Amino acid sequence: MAIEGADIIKAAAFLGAGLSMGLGAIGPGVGEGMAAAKACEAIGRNPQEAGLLTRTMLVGQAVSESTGIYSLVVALLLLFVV
Amino acid sequence: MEQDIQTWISVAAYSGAGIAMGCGAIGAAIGEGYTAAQANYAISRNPGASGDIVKSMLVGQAIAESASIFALVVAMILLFTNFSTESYVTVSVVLSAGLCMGLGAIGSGIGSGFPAGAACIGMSRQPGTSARLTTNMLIGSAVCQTPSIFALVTSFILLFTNFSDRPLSPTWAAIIGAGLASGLGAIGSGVGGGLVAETSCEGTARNPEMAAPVTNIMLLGQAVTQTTAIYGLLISFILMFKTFPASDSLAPSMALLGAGLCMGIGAIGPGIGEGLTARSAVQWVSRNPKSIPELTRSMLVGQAVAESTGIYALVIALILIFVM
Amino acid sequence: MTTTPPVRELQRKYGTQAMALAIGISLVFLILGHKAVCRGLVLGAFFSTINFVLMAQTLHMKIKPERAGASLSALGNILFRYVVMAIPLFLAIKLPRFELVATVAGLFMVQSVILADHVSRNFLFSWRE
Repeated sequence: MAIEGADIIKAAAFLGAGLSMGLGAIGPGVGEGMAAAKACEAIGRNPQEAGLLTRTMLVGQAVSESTGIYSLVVALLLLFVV
Repeated sequence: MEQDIQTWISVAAYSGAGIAMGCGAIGAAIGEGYTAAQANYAISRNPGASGDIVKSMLVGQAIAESASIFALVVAMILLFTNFSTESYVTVSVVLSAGLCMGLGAIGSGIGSGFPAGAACIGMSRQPGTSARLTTNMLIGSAVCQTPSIFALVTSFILLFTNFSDRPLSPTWAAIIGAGLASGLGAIGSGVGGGLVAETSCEGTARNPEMAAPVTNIMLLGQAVTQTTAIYGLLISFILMFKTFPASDSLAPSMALLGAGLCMGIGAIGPGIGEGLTARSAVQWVSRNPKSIPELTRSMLVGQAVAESTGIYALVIALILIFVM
Repeated sequence: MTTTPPVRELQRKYGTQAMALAIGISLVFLILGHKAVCRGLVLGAFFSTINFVLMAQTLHMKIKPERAGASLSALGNILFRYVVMAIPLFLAIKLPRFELVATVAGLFMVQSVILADHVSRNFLFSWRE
């Protein structure tokens, strides 16, 4: 079984895509959870401001989501472009 | 140097058994140790309640131990069963079964230690609530065990299904990927579910009249936290039961292995994050009962957003399996 | 080797209940004609009970003035308990007289009894109060 260079490159790209998305999901997952946790805490303290707090939480989560989207983009590039 | 198939299968089975029991003991040890530490602290606060506290510590540890007993079961099967086949696929099957159970037991063991510890502390504060508290703790710990049950199911399917008629080249990677997806995917949900149950025990002790809504919201939060473990289970079922065409090249194998790794690792973060969110929500449900609707809503919204990265991992894993 | 009365009471209660549940379920399987299931279940439940009793009985032996001795005896204790639980699994894998899945189910009999006891006491019969 002869393995050619192109085959190795493809294999590495597939494995890399998986690792990129997998590892990239840890940070945003925990981070967004923390943001939402603090928002829940604040809503518990002050339920009148629930709307404002939820909006702020979503903005914060959207920003921390961006690194997850970067990994998604890198994974898709590795899958379809390389 | 020529070795026959049987030698390699033994090597893989013994390594798999070692991984299963070794990793499987980590979680239970941390969880039970945490419980014992909290029980000591609780007894020092309120020596009068020591009987109740020791009882609930023992009961909590008995439940927390079940994840490592699952690992013991898989390890014993790997050690003492004769795997007689003519295919090298079995080598990866036994290794993957061990990996899956070992990794899958970590999260549940750690997670179910949290509610037991919180219940012991709660009993020292409010000795009157011990029955209600123990029930809440047991429900929380039992739900924490579900990710490790998923891992047990996956490794039993791996051990008792005949994969030897499949082509070696992509199947070995699919099998290892299946084990990793279920095993790693169980870590986050196990720990996250434990975090939720911890504050629900604390809340029950703080505000015993709110025990019923606290338990309900705990179950809701834990159910959402389990979803990432279910994605891992889904991917490993697809990897186990889809037949892949034989190929000589390396790329298809790596795509399947990558899919398993991607889903497994990708499930850890969202699981823990959703657990943190639900933990805060449950904590404030008991402190401020009037805000239950707002808290539930914002908990679910926050968890849904934290879930999104887990869904990205699912999408990439599905692309790797079905498109590549 | 003494245990405090409430703990021993708890062990006796859950130990007897687990064995009774296992024997009850295995009687059903005996009537249905699955003898191996019946043997495996009772074997597993028996060792599950032994493990639960050992868990508390050995707590006192772990208390030592110096840290090294305590860690060592705790480690030995855990190893001993897992070896005890490995015995029924080993028997079930090696002997066809015991059904493996039933033995595994039996090993969790104490845990299921604990759960069932608390859930039933607090939810199913709460209307009585």
